Amino acid sequence: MSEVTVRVVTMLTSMLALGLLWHFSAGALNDRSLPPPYAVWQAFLVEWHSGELVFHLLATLGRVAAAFILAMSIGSCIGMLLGSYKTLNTIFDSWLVLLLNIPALVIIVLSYIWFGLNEAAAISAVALNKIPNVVITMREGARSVDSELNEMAKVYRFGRWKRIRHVLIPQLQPFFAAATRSGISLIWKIVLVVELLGRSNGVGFQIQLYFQLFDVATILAYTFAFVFVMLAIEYLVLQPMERMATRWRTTSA
Amino acid sequence: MLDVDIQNKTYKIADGTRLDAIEKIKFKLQSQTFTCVVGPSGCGKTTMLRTILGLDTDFSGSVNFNKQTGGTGRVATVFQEPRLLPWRSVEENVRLAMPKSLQDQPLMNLFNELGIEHVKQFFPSELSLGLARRVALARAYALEPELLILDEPFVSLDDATAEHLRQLLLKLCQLRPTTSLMVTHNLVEAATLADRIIVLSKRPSFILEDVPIDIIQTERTETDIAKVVAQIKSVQEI
Repeated sequence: MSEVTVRVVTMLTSMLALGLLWHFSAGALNDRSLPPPYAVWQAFLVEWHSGELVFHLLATLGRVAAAFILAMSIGSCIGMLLGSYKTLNTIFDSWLVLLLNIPALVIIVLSYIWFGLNEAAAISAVALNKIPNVVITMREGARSVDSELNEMAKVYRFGRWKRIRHVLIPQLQPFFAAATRSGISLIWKIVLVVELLGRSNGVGFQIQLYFQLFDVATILAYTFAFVFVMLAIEYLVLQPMERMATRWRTTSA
Repeated sequence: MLDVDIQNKTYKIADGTRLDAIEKIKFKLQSQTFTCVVGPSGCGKTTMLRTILGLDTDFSGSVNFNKQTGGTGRVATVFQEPRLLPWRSVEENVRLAMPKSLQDQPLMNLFNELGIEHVKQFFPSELSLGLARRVALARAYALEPELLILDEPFVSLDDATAEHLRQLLLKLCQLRPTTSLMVTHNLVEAATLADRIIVLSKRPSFILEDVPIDIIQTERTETDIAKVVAQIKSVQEI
């Protein structure tokens, strides 16, 4: 067997073992608070056929996407500015530390109070929670830009656009990828809190509803459904994109 | 065509004190000549090139580059390290440095002259240092520069590879006449390639001697080269 097959088999066995552990402990406990896997599967099917699951999943996914794009674009710009200009960094570093340490919940609550219980307030609250992380990662990126390549670009009279596209962006790509990775999982967790506190749809709202009904099976069904969506994005979108961007790195003389 | 007049270039080192790098360097380059600048290490040779290239503007004096009639007015550089973009292929690296007006130009001849045609789709990380240096040379010549500046382009290569690249450069100079200014600390290299050798003093540097070589490069024998090297050594010992 090749190394890859061994790894896949190990991973599948490990996941199966976790499922079995869950199945048997649920059987032994025999309590509503821990339903067995097939009960969760049934709850999933019920929600799927009623169309509820897809509706709420899409609502949450839309918020994740909006907050993600907002946080990455604003965070990258600020991060690159702070990384390139020392004075700006000295002025705004304390703001950054402050924002970084305000709990997500406080930002969400204040955002709802100040801007009302609406979609814009929800999405900006999520983005605002993520922006400091993006800023810090991209600031490191901008600081690590290779001055030798900049000089080369200057001597060979690269235009602004050529310089950004062929010299700057490839150097920032690993930092952008790191911010994306940590960003997407953090954002979806915060989106759920936002939905729970002030929205009338989305996975967070549904979890709140089934929490009140003490329906653990449906809560788990929603959780797993969303986790699978995120895994699909990771393996089908993010990882292939990263492989494309770093193919020059894989070989060496 | 290139008028260099650098007076008193200092630079700040880490602890804030200023160091004199150049006391006075003044020379003119004639069109289509190959000039080498030699001097002890740390004498400000690279600093001088950086001021000529406009990468360092903090000095007193002037550097004037006058475009000749019919010349392209372009300046190209080969740095000490190849400085290729690691995420672009060899061919893309060369093409990116070319001005718009030359974009349609085929590169096959130049790549063949430099022996890099077979690696043009490679990424720089897949090249040996010797090959990467050739790509850096190709990038410079692809511009059809009027002035070519080389900063110890063959340093840290093994002797055989360095010698091979020197012969390649000599061939390119014959095929594509350009005004060249090269910094090196290898006297044999200078005596092999140059029409004229400028000998710099220790830091803060000034010109010790300006040595013209009358025999053309292709007809120089080893004795001729040894003679020039001996002459430069005697100047440096004073």
